[in-house]
Amino acid sequence: MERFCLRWKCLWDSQRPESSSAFLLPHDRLQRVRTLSPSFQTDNLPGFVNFSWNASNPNPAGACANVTPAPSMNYTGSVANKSNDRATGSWSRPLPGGGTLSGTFTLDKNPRDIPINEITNAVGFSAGLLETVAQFRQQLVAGSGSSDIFKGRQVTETTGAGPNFDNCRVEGVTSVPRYAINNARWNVGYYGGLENWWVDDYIGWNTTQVNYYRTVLTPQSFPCGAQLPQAMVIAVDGSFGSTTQYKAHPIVVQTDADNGFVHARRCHPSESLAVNGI
Amino acid sequence: MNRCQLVVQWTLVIAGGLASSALLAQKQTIINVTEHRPLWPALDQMEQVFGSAVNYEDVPYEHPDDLEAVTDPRVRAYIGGRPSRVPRKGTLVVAFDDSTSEPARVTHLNSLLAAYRQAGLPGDFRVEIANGMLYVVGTKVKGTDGRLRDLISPMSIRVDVPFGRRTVIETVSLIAEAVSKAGGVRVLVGQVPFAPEVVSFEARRETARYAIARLFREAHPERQTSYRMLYDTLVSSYMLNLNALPPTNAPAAEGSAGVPQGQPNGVSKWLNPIQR
Repeated sequence: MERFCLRWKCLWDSQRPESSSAFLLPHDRLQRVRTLSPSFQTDNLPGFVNFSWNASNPNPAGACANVTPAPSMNYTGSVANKSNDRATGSWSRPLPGGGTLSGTFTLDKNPRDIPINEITNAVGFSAGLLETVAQFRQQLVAGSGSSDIFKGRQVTETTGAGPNFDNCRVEGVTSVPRYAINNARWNVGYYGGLENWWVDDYIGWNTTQVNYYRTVLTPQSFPCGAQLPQAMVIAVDGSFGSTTQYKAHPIVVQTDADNGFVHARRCHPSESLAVNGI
Repeated sequence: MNRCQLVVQWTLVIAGGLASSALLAQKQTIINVTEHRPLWPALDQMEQVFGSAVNYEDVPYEHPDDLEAVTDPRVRAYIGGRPSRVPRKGTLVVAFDDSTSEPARVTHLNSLLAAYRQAGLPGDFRVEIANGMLYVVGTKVKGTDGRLRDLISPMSIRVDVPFGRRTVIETVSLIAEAVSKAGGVRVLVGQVPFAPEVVSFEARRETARYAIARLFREAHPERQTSYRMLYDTLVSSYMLNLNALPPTNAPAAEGSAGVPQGQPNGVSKWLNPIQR
């Protein structure tokens, strides 16, 4: 996270302090103020991290090109973990004749960090009612090579474009809904030591649903399955719902008849799981 | 196959009938579905229009008038020794304006149910409001004797769930088991779009309906979730499916009943962080 301070740029300031002749705006001169780390996270919910910094002892201290630097400048704000690309807060500085001038600011990270790829790792089938549901664990890949730049970000699945069918379901007859994208959301780096990873995408029908299909469908109906276009988006622009798509691929689930196989695939055929005897 | 239609129309209404009066643009939504359980897709569409959850509790269809034979060759002709029959298909058409306040949503749902009755479709239903959620609950069904009989939905059964930290699907399973035991009808857990979430939950003599609604809020306070309790005549059981509405663009709430950072939540044998 520490590198992002270097690339932040001031987009907007209320009561821009440089309108005062006594102040030299420090925004564009921010250098590695400190390392910011995402706060405590609750899965699926964004957290935030607070920061404050103080600019003092300007050099030169005296008037320079008709501008006299303020003796100090304080910034206090927070960065929402959801997108990690926007800080909002307030600033204040002393006025030469006494008193304090203050205002609010918004800083946007520019350019934003968008994954250039996502690596899917097939982990295994789950347990209990989810014994027929496969788990996939994803690693976001940064263009910079950073292994932790996405920690604290939120990713969400959406329905993309492409083949979208469920041929186990008999529309209007069977009571299992069409297999669909749930618009699920994950916090990246939620598990310690897996900073650019999000854990886990559960893919497949649960055992009740698999057994239901095996009960009501004819043997000739198998294998049956579903394919969905999963588009992954990552939160940007603060915490207000803006997202950018960074990956799209198919999800495939398939089941055979009685005690046959259950198969789940996320992304490429090499990123799939199959289990027999369920 | 265009069997379900959601049409949104814009209608210009001249207020007061005077040309000089303000022109009010009023959006009208028309739902037109032809299905074996038309309330199910109709309520799915109404949720999209409302932007909020509406739960659905089906009726246990049993009279031949309310059933029809399955013609799809993929479905077994006989299941459990019984011929395969499903709820009678019907068409449901309703139109309503774009107001989405809670009273307006109730009015729209009652219009939907009035259209359902008018179409002579199986069973009868009522709208219920509780715990900040809306429910369409089955109240009557035609019995095997041909008479309409009163019905108490299994979701009205009071359940106990001991306090514990469990996944949502485990908690839903406990509620379904409790309903099955007390109600004498099997409730299967179908779609649950909550696989990994862990929540601390307890219910004491609470109706299954309200317990599940509360579970939704505690597991995912920022997300609208509803349930579809469908009676499946093929297996003579209810299938309890949960349905997650797409997230809104509003800022997500802070704080929840999730698990501490860095701690595996115990949902499965695979959740210990992998070594790299």
